[in-house]
Amino acid sequence: MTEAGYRIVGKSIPKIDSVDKVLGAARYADDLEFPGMLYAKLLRSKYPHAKILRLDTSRAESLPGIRAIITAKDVPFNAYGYNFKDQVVFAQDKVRYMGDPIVAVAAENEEIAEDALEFIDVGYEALPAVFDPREALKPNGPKVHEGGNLCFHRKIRFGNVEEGFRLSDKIIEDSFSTEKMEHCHLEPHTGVAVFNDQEGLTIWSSWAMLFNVHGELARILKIPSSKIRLIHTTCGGGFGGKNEVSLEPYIALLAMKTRRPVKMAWTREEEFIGSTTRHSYFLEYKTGVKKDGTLMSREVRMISDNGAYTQLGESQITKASIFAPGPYKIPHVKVDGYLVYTNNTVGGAMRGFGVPQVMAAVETHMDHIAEILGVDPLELRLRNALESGDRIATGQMLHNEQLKVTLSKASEVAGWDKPYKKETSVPHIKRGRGIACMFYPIGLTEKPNPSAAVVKVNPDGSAVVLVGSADMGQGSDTVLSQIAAEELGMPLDSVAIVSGDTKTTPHCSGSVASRVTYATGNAIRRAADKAKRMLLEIAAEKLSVSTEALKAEDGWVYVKNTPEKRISIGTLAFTSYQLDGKPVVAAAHFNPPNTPLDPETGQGNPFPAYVSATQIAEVEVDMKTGLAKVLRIIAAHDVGKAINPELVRGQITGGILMGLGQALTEEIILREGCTLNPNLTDYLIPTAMDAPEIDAIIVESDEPTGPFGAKGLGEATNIATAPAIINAIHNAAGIRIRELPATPEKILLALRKAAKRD
Amino acid sequence: MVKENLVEIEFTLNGSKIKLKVKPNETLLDVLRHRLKLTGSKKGCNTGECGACTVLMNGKPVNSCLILASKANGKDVLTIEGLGSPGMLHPLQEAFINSNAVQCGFCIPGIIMSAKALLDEDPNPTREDVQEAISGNLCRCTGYLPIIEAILEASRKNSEKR
Amino acid sequence: MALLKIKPFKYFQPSTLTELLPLVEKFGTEGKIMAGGTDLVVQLKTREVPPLKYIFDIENIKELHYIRDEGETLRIGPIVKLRTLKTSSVIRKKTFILAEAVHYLATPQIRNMGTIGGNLCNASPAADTAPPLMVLGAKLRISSTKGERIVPIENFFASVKRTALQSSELLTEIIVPCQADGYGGAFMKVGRRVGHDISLASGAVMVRLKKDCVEDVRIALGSVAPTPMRAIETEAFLKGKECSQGNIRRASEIASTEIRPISDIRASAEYRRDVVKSLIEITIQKAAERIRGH
Repeated sequence: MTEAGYRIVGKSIPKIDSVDKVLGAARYADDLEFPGMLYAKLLRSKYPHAKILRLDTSRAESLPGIRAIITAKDVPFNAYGYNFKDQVVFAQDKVRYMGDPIVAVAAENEEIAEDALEFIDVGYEALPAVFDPREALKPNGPKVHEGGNLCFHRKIRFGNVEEGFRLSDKIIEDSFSTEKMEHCHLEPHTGVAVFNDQEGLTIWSSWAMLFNVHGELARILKIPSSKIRLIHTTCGGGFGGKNEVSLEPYIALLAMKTRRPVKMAWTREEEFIGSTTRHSYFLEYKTGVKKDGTLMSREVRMISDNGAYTQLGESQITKASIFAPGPYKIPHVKVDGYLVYTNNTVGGAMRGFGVPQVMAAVETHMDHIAEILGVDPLELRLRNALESGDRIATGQMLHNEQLKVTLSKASEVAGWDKPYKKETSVPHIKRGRGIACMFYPIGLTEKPNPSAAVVKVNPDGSAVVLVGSADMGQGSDTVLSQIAAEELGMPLDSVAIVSGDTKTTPHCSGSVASRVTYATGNAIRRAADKAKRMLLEIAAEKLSVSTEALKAEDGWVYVKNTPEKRISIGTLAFTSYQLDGKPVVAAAHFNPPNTPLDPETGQGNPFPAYVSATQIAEVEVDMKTGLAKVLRIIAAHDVGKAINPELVRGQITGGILMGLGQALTEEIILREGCTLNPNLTDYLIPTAMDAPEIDAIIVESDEPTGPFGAKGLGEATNIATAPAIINAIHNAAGIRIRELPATPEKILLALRKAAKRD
Repeated sequence: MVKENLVEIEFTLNGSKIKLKVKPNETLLDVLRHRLKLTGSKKGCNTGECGACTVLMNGKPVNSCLILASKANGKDVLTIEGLGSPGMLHPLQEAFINSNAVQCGFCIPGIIMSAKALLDEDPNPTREDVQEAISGNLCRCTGYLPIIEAILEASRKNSEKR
Repeated sequence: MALLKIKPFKYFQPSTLTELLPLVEKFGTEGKIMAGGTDLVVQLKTREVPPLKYIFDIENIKELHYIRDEGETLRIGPIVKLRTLKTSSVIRKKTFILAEAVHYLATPQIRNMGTIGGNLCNASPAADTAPPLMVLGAKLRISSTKGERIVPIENFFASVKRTALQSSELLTEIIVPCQADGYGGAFMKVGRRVGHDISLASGAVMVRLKKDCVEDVRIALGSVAPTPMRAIETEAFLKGKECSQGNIRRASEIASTEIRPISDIRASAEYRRDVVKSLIEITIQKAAERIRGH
């Protein structure tokens, strides 16, 4: 038995899909092949902003092997977008970014599809374009959309910042910028669509927000959503890049037109240009602080580059605005988050949804404040860290806040109170360490976001769990199976999970926002409990006790005080179905409670629970080349209960490497709207040689609102990393980088500037 | 229009001899996935940067997306499908499962092939040796540590056997 | 920007030079020679190289694969794999700086397929085999149906990705003088991450000291000009001078002015001018240490 008496929850069970994956037998979308399958390709805009004057596909249509060509006129409803319906399936009158799709073709093979694009004649009239979101906010410039370039303005008003500044002893200001990033999930967007009378439209692909795309597609195609089936295949990663509509409308329309299966696989290049990216930010911070380090007042102004369309941009800047002040008690806070259209590639969701950007800024800013005050950066954070009972800038009061625990545990393991040796055997290589902390929520921002679950118990005592939550590779199928098995009192082996099928599984708001364990886990617990009750009632009668006296465990229901008195779950299920005529099926849902934010003040309770973390980075800087190498990261993460500790650890190690990329090497380089590095040769994600040692510390607590006390952490792990590294670089080399990524070039330049000053 | 010639190749694939006629402009990855239906090797970038297409050729890891299929002639090619089987996993495959090195799994076949080549050549690699051996295989999910641990674990188990 | 399927071509896979040379004579203007293919295949997919009519695969020409130790010279066939340059005991012993350079070149997979000839003939300014071969004083044998010519490696690179090869010619041998007694050598490259990267700047140095005076020095730099280059002015400055910190620093400043770097998406010209100073300092110091250590 594990502690708290759990049999399965809390155990590091190997993922249920591992064997297929190590054998190379797991089937991802590109591994699917159907007889008569066609291949589809997109023709994308060559200009960042232009009118389309002429579109002639006739020459392409007559090419041998071309089976269908579609454009805007073939789309029943040519608009979509999660926050605002401002994006088009096909650009019609104008293109708004270099990559905006104009035509799709389906051909007998990939080569013919590619060739056909050359035969399509598009006449553009280039329009003046805007690429810097700060420029885009100025009046009289080029407008990306008719309504102007300010897409959305989020305001948070808590207390009175001017009053706070008056009460402060020191006021510190900092400006930052963070880069546009790409998810680089190893599996590119790939999907196959089949359309026939019997089943309607079926698409195999992978999505984090299956039901979102499902609904959008029904609107786009103007057919009932019940006639569309999205089936989530084995997924090669998402990280937020597979949340919204991408290739589905194209393969759907082509499949419907040709009545043949149609596959589209985006190239790695298309991933950089045509898929969503992490928003870049310009951030300005102004903080008022007392001599002793107490934070009094914080004002943040930030501009987020939406790109040409919004997708999830508005939710993203709302979340960023809520967390911009950092995980601290601050009596006076003012945040203005501006989401601005430009003719750049489209911003969407990427692991952390605006928070990696603001936390990189605020935690570097905090380190700067510590330096000015002459205070230890750990002490500054401990002094101001949020605790249970504190209110964040939206006015929400926190419960089960573990930030201080993470600060203590991380600093203890790192030996923070001991001196750190900065010299190495090579004079020009210096070491340093830095600390950063963060907090992050569970669940979608300020909107209802339910998960539903159905549990069926078969007559042999095994169970099937149906959930809409797609496994993105992180192991949600495994974790949810553990939760189901624990609640039902069955061995893990008896539980089969079906996930991610819009026709057969119930709704889920998405494998996003670190919400699956929490929301779907709770839904499963509720459904499993209902199913279990049906069985307990039969057992109570047969054993002549009340249901309260019974416990289900390991496939048996037994009397707690006299465990020899027991009946197998199989017997009970058989009895219910075959003898009593009551199939054991139960459905339930869970909606993480939240309240919307006031549009003027940002006040509300946007999330049901929060997680926090502290990361400490040890870094080596080559003072002659500017190259920074991360040696070690100590990471303490508050997760509530770790349902599967090894999977929690996997999120920590994976998230840290992504944060390392944000800190040091990753940046989509855009010039005049053109992506100059749409490949892995020049968009550099960390390799195995970049991987530091990682001490992963799981901080557990019992979250009262979570399943078996669990919260979540999928995104939290990549949020404190970048500022911890930036702060470590400062500790090592005496320079503070405020523009991410901190490339060797930027570091060397900063070192030269610093040397000139001295 | 260039009149292309089909090239007849004969090579050993996963232990068996195989004869094929390939187009000169086909890559080995395309032939493996589309002609031979061996979909374990993946197309992650198609330009030899991510390593998801890694197979062993004469025992050495190579990017199959960069090899024209005709080059396979006379060679000994091993793909993930040739390593272990359901019920009898290769020690590396066991180790990857037990060390939680598999998340989305897309990089895994390629990494396992690179790891196999390493352990065949150096049964007792250091941590740095492992990092270097898999430096041409990108992973976005795991942060590499569980993978490095899995490979070191497999090498330890191998030494115990001897 | 593109990432497309490779267009069809006629494929030749000759097994001898006598088969190959007439083919490139006849069809060379509409085709390319391929060894490992790690550069060419990517370039065909991105259309950096437009669709070809012919590809001449030379990897079956056994007479092009060898490493011959002739005492003071090594002769290397062009289709020797980069990996072999790293592991070969005779190369590690006699021309160590070449093995050192290849250690950091790309990834294991690329090193297992790519060849020394391919790396040179692709003629990227960042080609990592070029600076070490330059400081070793390598010469290249170029063959065609009309005969042979020997070209010092300095004259091999014409401009970015262009060599002295005519379309009817083939690089058939790399003739490398072994590192002579009394010389120390070192190689270093600078990249954007700890993992593999295309060099932002690279450098190879060979130095011979007499009582800590620089008797001879050869410096070759990559990624700081349209082609790999010898830092002639820097060499001239150092010759005859004491191998001191001060002189090395002054030498590095001269190097910084004699290079012709560009700004591209990988690095700015300013960074390259700056970091080449560090490169010179570190490689000369390392080369000097290695010879002093004897």
